[in-house]
Amino acid sequence: MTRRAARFLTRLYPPRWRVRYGEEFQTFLESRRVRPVDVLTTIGSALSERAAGSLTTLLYACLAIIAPGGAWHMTTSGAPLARIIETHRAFWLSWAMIEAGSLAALAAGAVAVAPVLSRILRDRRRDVVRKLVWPVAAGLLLVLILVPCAILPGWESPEARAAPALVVVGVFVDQAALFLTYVIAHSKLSRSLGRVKRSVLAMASWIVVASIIAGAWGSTIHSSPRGGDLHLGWAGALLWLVAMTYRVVVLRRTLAE
Amino acid sequence: MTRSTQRVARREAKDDPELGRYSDPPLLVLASLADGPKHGHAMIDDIEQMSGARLGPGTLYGAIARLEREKLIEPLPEEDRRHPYRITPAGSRLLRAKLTTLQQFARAGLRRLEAL
Repeated sequence: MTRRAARFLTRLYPPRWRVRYGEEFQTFLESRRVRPVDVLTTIGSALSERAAGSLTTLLYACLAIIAPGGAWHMTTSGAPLARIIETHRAFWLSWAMIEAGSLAALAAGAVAVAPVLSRILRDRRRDVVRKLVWPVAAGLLLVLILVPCAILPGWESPEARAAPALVVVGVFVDQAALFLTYVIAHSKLSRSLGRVKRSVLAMASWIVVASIIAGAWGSTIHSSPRGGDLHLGWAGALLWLVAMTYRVVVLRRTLAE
Repeated sequence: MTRSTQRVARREAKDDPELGRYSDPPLLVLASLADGPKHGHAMIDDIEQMSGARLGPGTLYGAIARLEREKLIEPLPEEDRRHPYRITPAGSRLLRAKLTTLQQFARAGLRRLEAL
């Protein structure tokens, strides 16, 4: 293989990998006849190395985009907010952005996340799977908290359609709690706390955020059944922004390593 | 295979919870390094001769990076811009346990075929 092609393939790998294997790998490529299929597997391997440190982050990033899209759709479908979106340009634009983001994330999921998931399952990456379990558990716990709100008197049929959105709200809350975890992990506090204590603190943060959201959700539903949808929409959008900011920061940090 | 060998293999497999994850390229690399240190070129040729499988450069170095991360192989001092690698004691134990399991599986399968 030519030096130029070998250098190109080597540069596809992340910097930390190149520091260790770059020169050796490039020499190896230059000294061998490389088949087209080898080029493809090398590209796959480079992408895999790039994603290795951020598999969970990538998956959550997609989830963080898809979930608010789904929540907005479910909470605005047939509700007054849908009409507001149609009449106000700013609402329409924000809705279109979230909808486009959701579609883009779904497309990215089909192209990029599916192979990553298949790799996780094939390699039995239990470390990643363990991390993925937490928000699911958090979402289920949140549903357990919110279901009593949903079954209280005053929960009419239109709002009942938004019930599945509660599961998605669980993901929002988890994202917000992760943001708090990030702040905790990067504050001076984390230096004086052990790993276990930090986890406990993160879970405590989660419970506080969940309680606030659950309280807000319940009060808006009961004081103004229709207004609850609007509040949920804005809460979702706000949490989406927080979650995405957090994810972008983490992703940049991970890729910069 | 004696019962004691089987017990040792089972114990080693139990001691290393990640044992089940290793197969294909990482296992081939470990097997290639079992008879002495080799660099990338020698490993690819050896693996092809030993198993008939020709690993691509990306696959080979993906396996090397993973095995080194897990401390199952280690690099030796650089020679002519390339590192030879050697298997570590942990890598030898893992390879032995994995191959013992495979041997046990192969024998059981062959016994069943003979019974046909």
